[in-house]
Amino acid sequence: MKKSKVKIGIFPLTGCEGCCVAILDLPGKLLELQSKIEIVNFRLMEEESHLETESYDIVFVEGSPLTVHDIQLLKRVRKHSKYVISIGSCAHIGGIYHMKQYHDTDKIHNYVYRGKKGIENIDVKPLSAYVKVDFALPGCPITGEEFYDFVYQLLIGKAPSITQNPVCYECQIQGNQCLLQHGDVCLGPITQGGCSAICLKSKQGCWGCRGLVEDAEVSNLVKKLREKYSDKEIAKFFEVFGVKEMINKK
Amino acid sequence: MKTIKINHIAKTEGHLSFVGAMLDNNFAQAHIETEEGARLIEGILLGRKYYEAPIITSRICGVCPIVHNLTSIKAMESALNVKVTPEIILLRKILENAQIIHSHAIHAYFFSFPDIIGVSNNFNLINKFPKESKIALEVRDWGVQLARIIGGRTVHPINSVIGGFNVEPDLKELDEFMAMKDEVLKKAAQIYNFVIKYKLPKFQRPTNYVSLKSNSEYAVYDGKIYFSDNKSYDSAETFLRDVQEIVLPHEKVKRTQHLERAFMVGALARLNNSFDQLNPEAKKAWNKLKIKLPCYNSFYNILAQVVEIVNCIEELEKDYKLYKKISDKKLLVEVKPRSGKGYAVMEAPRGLLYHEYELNAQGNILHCNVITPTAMFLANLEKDLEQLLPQIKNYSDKKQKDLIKTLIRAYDPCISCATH
Repeated sequence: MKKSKVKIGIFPLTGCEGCCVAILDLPGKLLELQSKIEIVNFRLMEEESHLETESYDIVFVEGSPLTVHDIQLLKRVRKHSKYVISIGSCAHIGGIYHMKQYHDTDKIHNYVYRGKKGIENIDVKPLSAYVKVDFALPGCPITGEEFYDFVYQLLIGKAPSITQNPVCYECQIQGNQCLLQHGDVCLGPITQGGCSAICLKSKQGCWGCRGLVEDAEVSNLVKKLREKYSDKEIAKFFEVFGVKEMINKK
Repeated sequence: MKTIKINHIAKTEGHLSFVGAMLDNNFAQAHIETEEGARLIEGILLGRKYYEAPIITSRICGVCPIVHNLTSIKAMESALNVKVTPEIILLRKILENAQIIHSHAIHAYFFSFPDIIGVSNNFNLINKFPKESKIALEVRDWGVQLARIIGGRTVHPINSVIGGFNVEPDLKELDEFMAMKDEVLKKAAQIYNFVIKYKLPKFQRPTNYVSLKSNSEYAVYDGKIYFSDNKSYDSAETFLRDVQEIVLPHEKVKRTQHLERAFMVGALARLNNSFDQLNPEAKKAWNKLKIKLPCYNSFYNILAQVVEIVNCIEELEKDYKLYKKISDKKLLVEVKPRSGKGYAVMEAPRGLLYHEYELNAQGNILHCNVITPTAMFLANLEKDLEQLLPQIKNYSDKKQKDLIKTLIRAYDPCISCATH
């Protein structure tokens, strides 16, 4: 009997699908991988919709569970997959859409839908609020390279890992100008690296889309930011990608 | 009464379903349902700082983040009374054209073309047409790389901000990619010539085509908003005078109409309205079809997209030459918070995109409204489907469903954008 290929499912929930696009932006790697494994339910690539009750070796989930259907799907794929991996900030730590939770959610729902009722208004939570997540590929969006490296690590039976160094470390290697010293907001010292400090290359301070790095010294950063910003302003920056929740949990 | 339901239509951006019903032999009802959750992006932005809007709104869509970023920036610049330099505008145009190239390449070739030839899985498409698929990917990648060099990243731009660009893109790298222009143009033409060998379904339904229009160029960044049915013009500030957003109970996507009629935006609308402004190679390509304009067959949106790929390549090369000629470039102008209202429109790959904001003196967002191309054309797509259904009533179930999906995908709907 033919040995079956490793079967990977990719499921985007509610979201921008930018992480799926990041995967697609390296088409050479995708095609190379396709010859080694079976990729199913990559809805940007194929018509056949695979049922969530099929069994998988690895399932990647992007986005936020924001409909009853999203939540059910997430629970079902968890049941039928050996590994569930979150891809992107939304799935990992709530991401941009999680900012909804810092508002009166009924009030902003009324604002957007002008008082019309009948539309689900589910709280924005990361995947881990609903199911066990085996591993997170962080970032908004993820880096395509990290995704493929991760899959290859799993294929050769290596326990996947993400280097635990702050964005700051990678930024210094790149020789970028330090925006924090310059008085801008940058969460580089407390944010998990692996992104090659890509935002800093474009002189955009890090807002923590990859989440907190292990042993993040948040209080040191806050002390530095207080030289120029109020606590309220600092908290707002922590809100953007969901870092605030991670700090609260620490 | 026969009903047709198609769940989870793939190869579109975001999740959608279709429900249709034949009321009698000649009349049908059609409805597109979004399966995306409500993210309430406009609500999220309330109370946030003006400079967060381009970053947050680009996350509405991972396929067209650039145009959300740029439209948000333009609206904020109008609210803050910021005037940018010609070199900033040129770079933005190049960035937007690069975005259109890569979005169209994936949609026209990998989402819609397989419908025309009856292949449902793109991995099979690649096996069946390895040469053409490779070329399509190369054309797309060229657009992706240009967007990366200027925007700082392929998905969700970083470098493009209110007031211009944080850093000048790596000109050496840009030069290298621009040097490939003739080759890429040839490849785009090859794809076009390949795709037009296959026949598109017959269909005709005149409608109101709405797009930006300018006398000097094929407008994507700026221009007046042109409505083809009554030949009227509007600006971003007055766009909502005759255009209404309609909120229906239980509907996550707001429908949009102009003077109570559905209208179409996107590649075919632009081409119908601005054919004269197309660049020579793009014009030549469309003329091969020998179709009288305006073209009322919505399936031709697919070919209009491929023509636009050719046009974008020609256009951004012109813009880059102009950009290079400017000495003493100023890529970032000063921005200061103040109270005000700002409106902007741009052409996203899928059609007109509208952003509006109101700020207080500290630059906090008091009001925000985003109307996306898919929200604009959804009612028109439903009207098209209602005309298509009686036309195909004698077809087998499978053939009916295939054609319905082909038409839906030809519009290139982005349900993530529409729901936001």
